[in-house]
Amino acid sequence: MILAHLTLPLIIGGVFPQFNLVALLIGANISSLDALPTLLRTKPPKVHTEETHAATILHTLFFFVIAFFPLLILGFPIALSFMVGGFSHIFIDALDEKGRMLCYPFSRKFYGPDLLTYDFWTYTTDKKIFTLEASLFLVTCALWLFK
Amino acid sequence: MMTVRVDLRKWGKSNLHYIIAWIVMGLVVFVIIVKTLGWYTLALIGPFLPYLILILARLRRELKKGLQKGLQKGLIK
Repeated sequence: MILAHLTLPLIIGGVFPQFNLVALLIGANISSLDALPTLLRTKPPKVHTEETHAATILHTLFFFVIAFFPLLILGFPIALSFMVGGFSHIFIDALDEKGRMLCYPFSRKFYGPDLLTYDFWTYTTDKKIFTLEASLFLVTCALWLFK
Repeated sequence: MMTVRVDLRKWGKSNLHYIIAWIVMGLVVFVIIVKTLGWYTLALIGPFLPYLILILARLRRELKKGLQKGLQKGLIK
């Protein structure tokens, strides 16, 4: 997902104002920091699902469970919002053909329902995905306009 | 699930409507975030600024490569 990592936390924060929106959004986007090796590489891997992006600890539920405890220093709502934001990233990412390491550290296997494409070029021009992303975008706009 | 290789210029031309829609949606979401979070937006986008610079540099390089190829083949005058 591209825009959904922003629109979904905005929807969650709009529906449940108890959450800290900043922590939700940071939690929902911090996983993307592992895209650096993909941006720096000169040749793409033969199989695009072998990209480093989305295959590190940042793209696991385990990371957010562990991060929850030190973040409690900042308060329970912030720690919980960060974890929920992170979980939203992992679960919507897991919908693609690559899946995500949902059972890490017990298993390094990638799990997911294989509903969406992983490749950027096909992703951005897929009607089904575009409809999904645009719907989330419209809900976000509606929530923001009528709050 | 093989890696998809695309000609950026050709791809851009045939999918211009998608590109415009993605850019518009991205900008609107960005405005909503800035209006909602205020200065905290910097905490959200700060770590990704080096990534953005890298992406723009790569995009520029790819477009330049495509332009040179087009000039060599006589497709662009």
